[in-house]
Amino acid sequence: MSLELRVTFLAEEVGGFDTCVLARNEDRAVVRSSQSFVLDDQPQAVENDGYLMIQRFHAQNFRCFDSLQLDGLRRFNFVVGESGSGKSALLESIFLLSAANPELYFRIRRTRGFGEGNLELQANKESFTSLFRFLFHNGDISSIARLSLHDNYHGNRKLDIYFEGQQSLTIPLNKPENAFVFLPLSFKWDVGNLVKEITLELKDGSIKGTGSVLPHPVHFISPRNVSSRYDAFLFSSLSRSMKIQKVIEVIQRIYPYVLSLSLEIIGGETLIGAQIEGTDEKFPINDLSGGLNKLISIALAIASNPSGIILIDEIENGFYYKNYREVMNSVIALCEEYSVQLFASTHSAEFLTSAAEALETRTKDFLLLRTKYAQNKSEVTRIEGRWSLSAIEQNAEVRG
Amino acid sequence: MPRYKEVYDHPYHIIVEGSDERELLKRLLISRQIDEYQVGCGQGEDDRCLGRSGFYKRIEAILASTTVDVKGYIIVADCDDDPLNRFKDAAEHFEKPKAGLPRPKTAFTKTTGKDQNGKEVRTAVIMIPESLTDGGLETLLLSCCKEIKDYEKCIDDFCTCVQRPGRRKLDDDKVRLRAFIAATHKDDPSLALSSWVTSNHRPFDLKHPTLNFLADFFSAFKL
Repeated sequence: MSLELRVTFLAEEVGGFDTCVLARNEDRAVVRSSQSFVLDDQPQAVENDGYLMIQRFHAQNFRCFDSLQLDGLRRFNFVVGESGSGKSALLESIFLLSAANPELYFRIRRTRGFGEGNLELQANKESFTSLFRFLFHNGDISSIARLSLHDNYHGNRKLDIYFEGQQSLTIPLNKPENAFVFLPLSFKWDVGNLVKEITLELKDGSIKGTGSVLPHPVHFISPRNVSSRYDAFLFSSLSRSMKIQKVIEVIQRIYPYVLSLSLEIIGGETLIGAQIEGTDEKFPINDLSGGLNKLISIALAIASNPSGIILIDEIENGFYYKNYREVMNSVIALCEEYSVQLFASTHSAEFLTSAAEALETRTKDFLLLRTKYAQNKSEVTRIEGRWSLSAIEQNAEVRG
Repeated sequence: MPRYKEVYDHPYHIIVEGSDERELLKRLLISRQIDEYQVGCGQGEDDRCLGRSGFYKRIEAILASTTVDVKGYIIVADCDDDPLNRFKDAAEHFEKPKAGLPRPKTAFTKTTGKDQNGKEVRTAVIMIPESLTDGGLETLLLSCCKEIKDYEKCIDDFCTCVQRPGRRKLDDDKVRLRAFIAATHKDDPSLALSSWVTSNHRPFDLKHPTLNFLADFFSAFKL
């Protein structure tokens, strides 16, 4: 059963793709928020380990990965490596596979600080291809960028991204000097027996794409994309289904001064408000600690995404070091409670130690992925959880 | 001072029981100009060496953290009073990490195989003292100390006085070496063995022939 929704913010994290329009305003293209999404029932993996789990992942000609094959992924996967070695790209690639929706790409761009305002395109080929060029390894748009994974629910899931060989020429009649050859960009998802191809085309001064396909319940939290509006939506959804209490309990375990959380309309915005010990009013959580906001985002994402996958880039950001252990215990407990698989990157040895300690008795669920950039490409080394624990215990440098 | 993390950046690793062996072998390698080796023990939470139970922990840590392709591992174990079983116990540690490391069948044998990534890797177990006889590091060091003759009667008298029935050969040698260190280090008679090994006034030569079997093995071990 599927439910078509036309409320844009509902589809912040999961959803099919119907139409993405980048409307041209005179010489410039501007993203309009006229998107609609098809939300299928979220898959509930009931076989195997009882939760959806990515077991294998492959990337080819995608971003910094020339060719990457990762097997034997685990329940709790931690990604380490130097800055620029491909940690975020790895998480992003899994996210991009999660729905048949090129809009996810634009969202990923925003997490990297691109296009925070209106996206502006000049009416020329370079402007268009530059939007997508770096999806391809070394900007090689002549080859297909391919991502694929195998999970224990759908089986195989694949995404091909490629510029089609057939070129079209667009000649704006009002400004013929802007005529350029346009290479349509295709996103082709292959999920089980379902194949969906979405081609971004230039039509009437806009970039348009059409399609929809089964979404994958994946949630991505990057250091830049914590969204108060989206968190408020998740909070409301869990509250209405009487499932918010567990989230609040997790928050209070680490931030006991938070007496309660509720939705409040503040300055016309619906935000999460917190009652703080010793005060007699509620504050928007945005005015409180970054760690509290981060934990709320993570807890809401996990609780809203049962039998799904959560991707957290730079998980330690915002948390005080003394809370690392309790944060990690809470995240792992929530993932257990809601049958969620975790992929988290970190730069912090202290956080990694906390993760190792939290998973000390279940090393089979723990995997370390170390990224390294050398000779113009990123590689990922898979490190068994038990080895990582031994290394951390012995104060060895596991981050590369 | 900040506590830096250990980085494994050498292709060959020597894994020992304790800090005494670690410090001795580090200096032996420098003295004999044998490079490409990194020496260490499996450590517990308080950074103390775990003894012979920590060999596999060190191997796992290397597997998790190495920044280069590791070509070989040598475990250096004490014979204690049961050389064959000590060897067997040590060799088993190559299998514990489940990384495809080959398990040597006998001591002082270079065993080559493929690790789980299909790369060639070599392993070996060296037993101390050399000849699979009872003893350990102290046994080896006693035989390197020329000056001990100057104190032999005094040390013998002391050892006779503190003799306990059934004491192992290795413990006997520990008592002898401890007495020798106390005799030769008047400023600090309780000097730790690892400090004694690393001090400039150690009364033995790192080029002593007794240590040749170690140096020769390390030199010949490399792939």
